[in-house]
Amino acid sequence: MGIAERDIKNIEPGYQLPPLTKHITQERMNAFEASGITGLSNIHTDPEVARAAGIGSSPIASGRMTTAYVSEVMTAAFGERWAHGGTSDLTFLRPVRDGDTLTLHAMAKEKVSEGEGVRLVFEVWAENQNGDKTAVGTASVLI
Amino acid sequence: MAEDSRSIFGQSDKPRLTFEEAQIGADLGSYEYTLTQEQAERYRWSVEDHAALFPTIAVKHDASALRVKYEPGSAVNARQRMEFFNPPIPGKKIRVTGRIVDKYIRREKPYLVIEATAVDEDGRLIERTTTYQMRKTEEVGKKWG
Repeated sequence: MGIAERDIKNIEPGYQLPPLTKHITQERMNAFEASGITGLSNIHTDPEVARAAGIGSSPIASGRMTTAYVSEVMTAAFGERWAHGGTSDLTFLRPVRDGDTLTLHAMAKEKVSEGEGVRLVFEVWAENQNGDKTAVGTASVLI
Repeated sequence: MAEDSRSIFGQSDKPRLTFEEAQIGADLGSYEYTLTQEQAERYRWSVEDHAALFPTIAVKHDASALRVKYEPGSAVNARQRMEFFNPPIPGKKIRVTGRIVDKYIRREKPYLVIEATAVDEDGRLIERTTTYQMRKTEEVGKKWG
């Protein structure tokens, strides 16, 4: 159940969407990579590849998984508005690995004129179980 | 893995892409694949979102576009921008075009910026993604390993 249409235009800076928590496992990371088309073992799936790349002793989750979580938060709130015209822009600050727990946050930041409409911009961030931010950025929809 | 993409990405005789040789504005060409229902379901399981609209996020259109022409070498994404236009429909063929839009060095680390645009067989614009690849992956291990 998303935000009612009559309420969307009344969202003001500071409004927070419900947070979303995800537990990261290597099995989910592997499945994410297997949903692609290149079929290659990589730094997200293979400890040897991660080690050879100098990333550490274990694979790191693709930052795109965080993009997917942001998409889930925004889809839950805005549905079709996210599907047709949503944007995200994330900077990845630190690695996410098997066993981490991420919580996604989104807080309305500003409204920006765009064409004949208004784009509602959220500040978004992901925190791990230690309270460290793993990604920060924005997500937006046309309202 | 989509059958029509297997041969494109499996070739081992491509030149290795180096930061020095990457050309801003270089066209990476295009490729096609068919998003399968199985792919979509695997993606939804992987992100624990049974209604996820854009399984194409995991296809990594930008990184895949780079692989059409090059053996890309190691990189980690420092930043990713996405624009979502229309959810992909499983069973439809998707054409991806890519290009190198920028490259720069920041704090002694080299970055390549790759943009890819995906359109389905009916001409529906699906998504556009821009990723900022940091190509000195050992920096991740030094700081966080």
